Amino acid sequence: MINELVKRSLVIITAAYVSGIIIGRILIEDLRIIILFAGIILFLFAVGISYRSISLYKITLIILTAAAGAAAYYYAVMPAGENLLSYAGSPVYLEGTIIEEPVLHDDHAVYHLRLEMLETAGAKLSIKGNLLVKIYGEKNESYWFGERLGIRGTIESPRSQRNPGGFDYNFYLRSQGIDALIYPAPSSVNSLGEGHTGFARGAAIKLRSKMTDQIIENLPSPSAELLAAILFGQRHYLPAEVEDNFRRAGAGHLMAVSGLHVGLVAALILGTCRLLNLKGAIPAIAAILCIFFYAYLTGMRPSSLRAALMISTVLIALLMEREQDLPNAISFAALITLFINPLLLFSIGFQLSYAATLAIIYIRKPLEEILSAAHFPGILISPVAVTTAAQIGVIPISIYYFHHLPVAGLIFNLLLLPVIALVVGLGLSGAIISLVFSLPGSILLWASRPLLEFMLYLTGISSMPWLYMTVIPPKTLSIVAMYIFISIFLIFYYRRGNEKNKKSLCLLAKQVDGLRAMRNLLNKRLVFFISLCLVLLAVFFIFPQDSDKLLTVTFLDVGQGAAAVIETPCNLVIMVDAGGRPAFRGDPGVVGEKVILPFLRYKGIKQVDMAVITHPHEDHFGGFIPLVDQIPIEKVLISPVEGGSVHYQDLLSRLELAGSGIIKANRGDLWHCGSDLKLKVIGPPEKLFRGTSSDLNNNSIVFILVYKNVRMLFTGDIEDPAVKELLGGGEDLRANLLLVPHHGGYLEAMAGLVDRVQPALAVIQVGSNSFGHPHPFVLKSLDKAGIPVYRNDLHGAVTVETDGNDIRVFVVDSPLVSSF
Amino acid sequence: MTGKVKNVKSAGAEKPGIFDALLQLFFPERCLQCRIIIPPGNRIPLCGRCENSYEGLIRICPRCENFSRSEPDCGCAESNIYFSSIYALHIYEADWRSLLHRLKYRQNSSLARPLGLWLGNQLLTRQEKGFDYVVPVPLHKSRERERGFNQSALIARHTASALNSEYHELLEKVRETASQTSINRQDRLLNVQGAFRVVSPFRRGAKILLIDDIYSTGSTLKEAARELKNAGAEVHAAVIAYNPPRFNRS
Repeated sequence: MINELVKRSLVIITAAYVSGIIIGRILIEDLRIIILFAGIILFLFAVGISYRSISLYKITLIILTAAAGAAAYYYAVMPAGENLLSYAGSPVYLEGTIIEEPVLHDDHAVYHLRLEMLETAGAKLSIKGNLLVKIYGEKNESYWFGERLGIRGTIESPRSQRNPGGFDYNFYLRSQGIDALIYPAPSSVNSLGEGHTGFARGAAIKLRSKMTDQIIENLPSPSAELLAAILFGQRHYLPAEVEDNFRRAGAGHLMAVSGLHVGLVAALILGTCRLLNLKGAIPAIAAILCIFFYAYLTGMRPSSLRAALMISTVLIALLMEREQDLPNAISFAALITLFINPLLLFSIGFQLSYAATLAIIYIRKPLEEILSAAHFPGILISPVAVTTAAQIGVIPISIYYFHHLPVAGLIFNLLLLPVIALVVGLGLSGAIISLVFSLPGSILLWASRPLLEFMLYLTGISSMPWLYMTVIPPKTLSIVAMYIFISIFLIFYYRRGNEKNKKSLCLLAKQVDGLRAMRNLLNKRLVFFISLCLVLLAVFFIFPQDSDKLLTVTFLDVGQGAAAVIETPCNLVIMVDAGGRPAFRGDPGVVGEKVILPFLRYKGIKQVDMAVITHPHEDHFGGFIPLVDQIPIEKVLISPVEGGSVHYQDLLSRLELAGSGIIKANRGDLWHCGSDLKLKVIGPPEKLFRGTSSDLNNNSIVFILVYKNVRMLFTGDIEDPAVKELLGGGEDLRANLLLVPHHGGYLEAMAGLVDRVQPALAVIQVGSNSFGHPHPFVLKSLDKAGIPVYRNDLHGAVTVETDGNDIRVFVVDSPLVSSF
Repeated sequence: MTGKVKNVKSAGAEKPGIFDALLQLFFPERCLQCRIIIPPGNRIPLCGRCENSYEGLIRICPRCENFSRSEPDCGCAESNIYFSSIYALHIYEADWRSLLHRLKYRQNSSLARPLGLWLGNQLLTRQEKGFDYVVPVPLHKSRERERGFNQSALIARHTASALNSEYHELLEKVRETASQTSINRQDRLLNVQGAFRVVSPFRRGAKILLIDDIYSTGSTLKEAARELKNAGAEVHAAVIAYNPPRFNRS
């Protein structure tokens, strides 16, 4: 047993475990991709078998490890037995202790609470779990780390992904170990005195907050916040602008405590031990203890834990007089991290950290060779190679998640890295020393100030438009393909390297060695070729090329409001409303920033050919506000009704300034693209409604979208007067899809409308609201007619796809497909 | 920690203990020459191919410094000898230069273990055993502190464990000397004269194996051996690499 493990090495075990976690996720969330996965497994086994005969015993071991990974994933997302979420939605009283440093914002405070007791319906239950407590309201009493709280409120389950390309808050919180949310009123939170947080945790967090205090005392803002972010990875208080600048500069990683920081800590300890002339195992053990304490201090994020684990394996190698082995070290780090929390595999921090490290391990050497062949100045070769390698590893991921391409990332990093090394050295020793000796500590902290300001200045340059680009994120598959390509290149590089100078790295060298053992070249190529074909085939079957013949309508989940994006077979993009938040609740454009723009980027949409603003209410136009500067809008179709808020007038004038043509819709207008696609405006009537309960609503643009034999009726927020007017007219209202008017608000004429439209399905764009939308009567009318209803509040975004005859519906919440 | 070789005659790989297996899992053993991963517990830290091209332990004539791989003695008639025998793993050439450089200057203590074990195992194949003490050539204290380790000591520890002998730092360097590599061959003997001192007494006639990394002119080793011999020891020496003079005296 041990012998076998010994031969196989950690890499294989980790790879199997990681694959298992991915299988787990796929099995639970999307069965379709399992085919791709089977393809990849086949590929890997084919390669594996071609390199070295894999015995049945080993395959069993691999499969068992993978199964463990899948099970770990399953239990992480679906905790067994009773858990907090079973009480979501009902009012409870609960008690717990704050186990993380609270984050205090201007208008709200966030506490991470470990639950101790839950009381519901008179029964006291001891349920374990972690809650995020968000208390809104300015100038609240704030609570402290370690304080016990008693809270009355309603437990909420965090929102899952709502829109294609959108953020999955639920999954994110789960990967942070948080089960549920609660938003109590400030008055229903009571302090119950000191709680228990555990000695190590308490010591670490108190120490960190003391050091942070010292930093804030000695340095001005935002240098202080920047230093705290760099040293402890605490980014809550860092101005968003600074963080954005770092990210644009491709230097966001500097604020994740990683190998650089942990390595410096280890070096400081080893150096001190050497000064004290300590010998034997003491320096290494001291260094290992310190780096783990430091990682703990910074919250044990994937990057700091990875760094601590990797560096301690290196130190142990030193201690044991063994040669360090980086592939094994990184595998070990990944295995431990994912063993603690398998969901971290899907966290951006984990992916960035491991991609960068793997790239440094494997890509650095070829780059150094290339650079030295190009007669690059000797001292610069190593830093340039390391930085470039890390960038190569990280860029695909950063494009995928942040939609940023840091054009000058390499240069920024080369300039920033030496500075950051100094800053970490000065800042950390300064913060520690200032806990004991105030003056020397302060001097060290002051010394870091010009460096911090230099960093702020330098990254500030990155906001210049030509230094970074916002890019269309490639599809997941292209990202995977990119990494596969890089890996294949590297395999061949190291194979050549091995034959030439016999100096190669562990894993690859081993594979290559096996490769040589293959009987003949033809055989090897054949196996490789066949397995490659298998993968391509799998890819081809699961991701059929988007046919040009499809019309796609995505009804986005924008909360209470409406937003639909139509992509036509003739490559037009039509947006029908863009959601928005009522102005009295803050910035009306926030939905555009958080939902609409990410969706458009995800879809690769660079231009909107027509934006239809059905009527001037913020929950329909607000989302367009942030779009104006980001995406050109060719034409804007607006309702002829006068009125609307300042924001509306402002939006129109900004659109005009940006060169959009603004057109008032008239009944009877007909837009078309080719002979198959038509958009016919059927409302409002020439004589606009006056004196109704809401003239703005009733004068919404109503139109029918026709593609071949499929018709869809878009109704804005029309109410009874407009609906009755339509029903009274002779217009052909028949449609396969009905967008239910006014978020499903009460409509006396609903039955009549359903009768005239005869829809195969209905969509209601509705979010949580205080108007009672959708109205039971409306739902009942649809139910009676046997019409399936898709609601954004229940299903998330609803995507409707049609080839002009058949309609298919996808919803974000479940991968099931319905056809009509 | 130090893969102990208990029975030399069981050739090839040995069954490793759990701890060694764990170490191998994290820090796999590699071929010292071509760096590929090899199974643990090999008596020779080389892969199969490199092992085949390894020619075996070199025996250096303690008198005339001629070397051979098979002859027990070269038959020359020099006198003034301090050593009963001198062995080297390899000639100091090609890859071995960089290997020893890594060992000496790059804090690569991970090389000392396989090299030390290898040296010990090779000595066993020549039936050179039964040493009372395995003794490293010492560095001066300040030098060792500067470098952080004494490569000869690192090697000697493992050689001792392979030979099942006692590792003992019997010698001390009492005087700092210029680096042997910085001066020409003729002056080296003068450079180290009187540099060593026996620090703890031992039984007369004790069989001592003196360990160093390189044998060039042998000045350092000879001086150390003289000290031990004067204290009554029978001195044998073993080094990792032998750097023979360009022109051999015939």
